[in-house]
Formats: sequence, C-alpha cells, structure tokens
Amino acid sequence: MNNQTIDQALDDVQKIFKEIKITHDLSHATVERWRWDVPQISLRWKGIDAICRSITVLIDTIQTTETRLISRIGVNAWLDQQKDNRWVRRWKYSLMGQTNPLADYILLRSYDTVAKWTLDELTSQQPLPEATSAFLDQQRG
Amino acid sequence: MNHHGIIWAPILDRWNLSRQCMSNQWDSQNSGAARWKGDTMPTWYYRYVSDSSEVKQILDERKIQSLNLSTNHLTWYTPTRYPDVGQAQQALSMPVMPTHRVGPLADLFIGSMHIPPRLCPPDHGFPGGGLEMATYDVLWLSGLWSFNPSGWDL
Repeated sequence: MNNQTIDQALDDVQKIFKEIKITHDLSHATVERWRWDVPQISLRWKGIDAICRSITVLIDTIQTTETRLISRIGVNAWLDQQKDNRWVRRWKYSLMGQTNPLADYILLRSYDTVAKWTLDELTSQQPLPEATSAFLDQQRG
Repeated sequence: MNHHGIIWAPILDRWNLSRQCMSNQWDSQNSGAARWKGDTMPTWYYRYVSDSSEVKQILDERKIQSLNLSTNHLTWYTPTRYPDVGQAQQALSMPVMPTHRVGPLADLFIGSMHIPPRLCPPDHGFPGGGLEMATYDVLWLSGLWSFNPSGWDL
C-alpha cells in the first residue's frame, strides 16, 4: 500500500472533519495524521464538560482479487482524573463501522454519537502509568 | 549513564526471540521509568517499531528515524520501557502490535522534540495513557566498530 494512496484517502476524511468542525463550532479541535506512523487521521477536541473526544479513521487494506482500501471509523471519549493520589483514565471506545469507499454519513453520525456521551458512560477505567502520573503532577505545578 | 556509572548500549529488542539482536548488555535494573531533568522532559527514550523496513534500516545503518515521507520522517518516542509488548500496545494505543523496541536513547542525542511530551489518547479499543513525543531529528545507534576488517562487530 503506497503512502500517496493513503494520503489521498486521509485528505478525503479531512474534508469531512473540516465540515464537522464548522457545523459544530469546533474551532479548537485538532486534526492529526500518521501518529506513530499508523495510516490514520484523528479529529480531537475537548468539550465544555472537560471530556476529551475523538473520531479516528484507520486506513487498512483488504485483499480480494485486488488490493482495496478500507476505512475503519472509531470514536473515543476520555477524562483523566486524580483519585486517591493516583491518576486514572475513564474512557469509552466504539467502532462505528468499516467501509469502502468512505461513507460520509458514518463520520457525521460518529460525531453525534461521541458528543452525547456523558461521564457516567465512560465506564472503562485504567490507572495511568507512574511516569504519566508524575508528568501530570508536574504540569499541575 | 545509569546510577552505577556504567554506560549501557541502547539495543534493539525483538519480542519473539529469546536472544536480543544487537547486545546482551541489557540490565534488569533499568525499569524504564523516565528520569526527569527538573522540568517535564525525560532523560531516556524508547521507540516501538512494527515496520520491518525500519528494523532493517536500524540493523543495516544504525539509523533511527521513521521512513514515512508523508510526515517528513516525524519519529515518535516514549520515555517508558514496556517489558511486555501487550502493555506497549495498550499504553500507546497502537492498532498493530510492535515487533521491536529500541532504546534506551539519551535525549542529549536528539536535537529537539518537535512534538513535546503529551499523553497518548485512547484508540482502537486501548486506553492509551502512556507518554509520547516526536522529533524530525535522526538518532544514531552507538556500536563497536572494527577497523580491520572494517565493519560493525556490535
């Protein structure tokens, strides 16, 4: 799978992310690609409820008679809190769909899904590693 | 240099082999915890790799840098040594399990971090929460060079 083909797919996703940003007034949201060299693009923002949210599209390949690209769309929401002197991440992930070609409506629906999640719905919990806790403590000052 | 005054060579660890690719000098005393220099920057870095071409680059050229032209070779690191590959995948929220870990790499060999330390977001069903940072700079692995015959012994 060559990077140029993937970048074109990521460009297509980025156009829809731009639409989401404008429609939902997410001027502060960030878009990032290729984190850790993974062929993916993410839209991330922090809500007024302090919960961080993201929509990620991972570009994968499927082999049939030819190599085809498939887009895997996931949403995340998370909040890092201090609990008994330790930092804990509360989070939730949901796979919204896998499509080829990219289905705009799934991305738009992804925003609606993740935007509605409340703190009570972030039912997964994970203590943050020691190095991360130390980093957060230092940031807090 | 660790607190014993010994310099340990950074190594390329391969998870599915019982022996390490480049060095047997790895010590179990290094827990991989970041050692802060008084601000938010770590002292040592590790890179987790799943691209076989990059592993080959490290072995052949001793050069550590992403091969990704799309990002202008932006190369990601973490200050944490994860002894278990599953832990690495969870903390770094990687959809593909890394095959190798290279490090520890001292920050004095890196010009600057273009993406400063931050928390890994959750993704792909993993919680994230590890620390990550990225640079465009190349890192070179040290080694043992033989002058005659010329070549790397280690």
